[in-house]
Amino acid sequence: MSSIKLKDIWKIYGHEVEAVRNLQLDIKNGEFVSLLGPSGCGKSSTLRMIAGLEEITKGNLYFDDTRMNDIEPGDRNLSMVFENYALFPHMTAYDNIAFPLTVRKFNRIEIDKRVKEISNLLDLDDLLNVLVVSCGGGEKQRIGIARAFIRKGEALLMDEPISHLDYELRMRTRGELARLQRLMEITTIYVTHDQAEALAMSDRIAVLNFGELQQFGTPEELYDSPENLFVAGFIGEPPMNFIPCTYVRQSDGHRFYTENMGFDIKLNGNKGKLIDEKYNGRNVVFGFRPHEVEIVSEANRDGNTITKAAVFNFEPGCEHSYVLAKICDIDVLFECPQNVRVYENKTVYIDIISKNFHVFDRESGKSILTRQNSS
Amino acid sequence: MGITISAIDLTKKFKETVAVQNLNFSVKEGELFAFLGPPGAGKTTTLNLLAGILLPDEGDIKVGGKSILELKPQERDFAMVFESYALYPHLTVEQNIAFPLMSPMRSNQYSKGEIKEKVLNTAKMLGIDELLTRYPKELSGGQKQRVGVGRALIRDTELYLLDEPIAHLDAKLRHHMRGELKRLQKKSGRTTILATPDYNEVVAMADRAAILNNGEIQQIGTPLDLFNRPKNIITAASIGDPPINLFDFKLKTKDAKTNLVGDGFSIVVNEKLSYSLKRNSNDDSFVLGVRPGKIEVENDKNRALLSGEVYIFEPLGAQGILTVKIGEKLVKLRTDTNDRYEIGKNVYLSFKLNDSTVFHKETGEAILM
Repeated sequence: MSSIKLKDIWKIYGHEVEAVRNLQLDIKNGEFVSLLGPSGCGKSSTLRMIAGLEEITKGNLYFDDTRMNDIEPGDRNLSMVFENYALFPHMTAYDNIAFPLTVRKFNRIEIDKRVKEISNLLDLDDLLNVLVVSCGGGEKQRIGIARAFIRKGEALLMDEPISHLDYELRMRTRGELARLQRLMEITTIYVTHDQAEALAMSDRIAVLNFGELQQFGTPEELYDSPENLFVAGFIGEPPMNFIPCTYVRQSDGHRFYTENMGFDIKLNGNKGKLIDEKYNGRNVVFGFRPHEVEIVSEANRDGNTITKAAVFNFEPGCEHSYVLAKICDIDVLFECPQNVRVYENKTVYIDIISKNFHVFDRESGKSILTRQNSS
Repeated sequence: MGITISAIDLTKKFKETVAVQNLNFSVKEGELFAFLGPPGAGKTTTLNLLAGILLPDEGDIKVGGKSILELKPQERDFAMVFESYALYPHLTVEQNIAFPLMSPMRSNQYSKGEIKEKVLNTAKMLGIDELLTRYPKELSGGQKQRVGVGRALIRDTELYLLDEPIAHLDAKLRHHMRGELKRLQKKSGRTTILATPDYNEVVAMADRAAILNNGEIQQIGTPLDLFNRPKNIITAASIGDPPINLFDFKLKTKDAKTNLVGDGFSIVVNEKLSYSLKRNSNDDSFVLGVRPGKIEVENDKNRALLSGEVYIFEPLGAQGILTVKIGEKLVKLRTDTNDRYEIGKNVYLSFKLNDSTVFHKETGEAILM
């Protein structure tokens, strides 16, 4: 297993379609890294360049310290998993799992040792002599995972391997894959468009959009400190709410207000101190997550951190409910406890919990909070 | 206003396979009623029976007390949204949505201007008003789906049948559409029947719902009733994500105390609980159901009810899902993402027995205590 380094990598199709633009990634040995983004963001092109299935237009790819650009795909010693595991139905689970080793002429004792080791981790011991055709969907899925992991090559590359599964099986396989990767410590690169999948499984996530790296960080970093509007809006479900407004630094706090004063709050607390001073008086975008607000009673309507919202729809839930509302004509969505009921076409007062908020430059979309140390 | 529609002992077979069996339900006037079930449960078959696209092998369908089995689909005149969209590929979005208003049966009902206005209003509500001149092949799955919804909603009819109308939309749009559909339904007062595999949709939109599984109705009730007071294990497992945790256990007496004993755990319970369990069952095999939101990681080992080792922790932003292996069983619970849980680490868990449901092992029926 090895570390993988992408340095100044470009993928240009034809003369002008820039699928991947100047990508830098430093993936550690044994790390689980996801390439996350919407379709067309360049995540699959990146994976295919690492695998050698696509030529690298510009830049260098390294496994440890070895430059790989000109190495044939077959000589890169990688395991790849695509959407379809393509198991052999009339072979036993054992023979399916052993297949990548058998074709490479590993000796029998080594094969047996590895099959038993991995079957044990995936709880497949009792199925080893069963024909795949008579296994259930979940069992087939685990056999496919076992086959992917058994190689122990330089790295494991996966492109949306579970996105076609039904929800229940997907949730189960997600956990199994992440667990096995931690136990086997195989460097893994995982392509997905599903932010929950990336958060749940990865050590670090590279968020891509239009071929460019938006942010590369741990799930916590991406969720708590998104570096730009794209990451802020892409990570988290339901997504973050954004209110374009003006920022003013005052002696007793940080004020955010819209032109029509439909939104006008003042935040104290430490996080305000992180706002870059040069944005005083400028146009910004204020962001807060759906669960980072509290509905307060009308009696408390005048607090500094309280704003008015016109309820458009109340969506009941089992454990908590959602409110779709407008703050000065901007759609926002927020969570409320299950026992709270609000009504359509009424006004509610919401307290924006001041220790969790985000501010972005309106033009560049970049966060203007100076990066917090992990405290 | 809408209509009352009910099914009496409705059964449909495809050759030997029973698609739905002995369905009995009654949807009230103006109600939004949902069928919740996994793929293959019989949801689409049920809607097709109501619409007249399929004929039942047994049973009856009544509208306002009168059988409609003799009526052809066009005579029943219900509006339907198909899961597969079923758009006309050679027509634009505008023509697709307008189509029901142009049919020979209603050709003179609306003027061209009226139709144009109705189409625009419907498209606006669904956020597809910019797409009116496009053809279906130029649309994403979510956009096609909204065109399909628009084509049904533009009609002024007494019953709307919606088969997974918002399955293919992204998160924000899904919340928006749930709101729009519910709003519109309440405003028009038209009886509406929804089929979906997504319990969130049911809780968000439906007045009442039927849990459909293997062609049979398990329970009918308000969404919160189904969540809080499931009558059986199938209903309990149909609502909630991650699904409810289920533990097999037996009652055993040890040192004059009653214990719930299962794989990897033994929980002492009070006399009252053990008495009502014994009174309600012929044997001593039960299933304990506890929802992931009701289990907590317990630091004080002495107060814990369960102990096991961390199988995997999945952070998901504000919260994460912790999976713990207890005996041979994987138990899921929701936790804050601030804590790190290493694979293999020992953890202690607690929950309140009051927050759990006990079922008969054999029948799957809930025991009311």
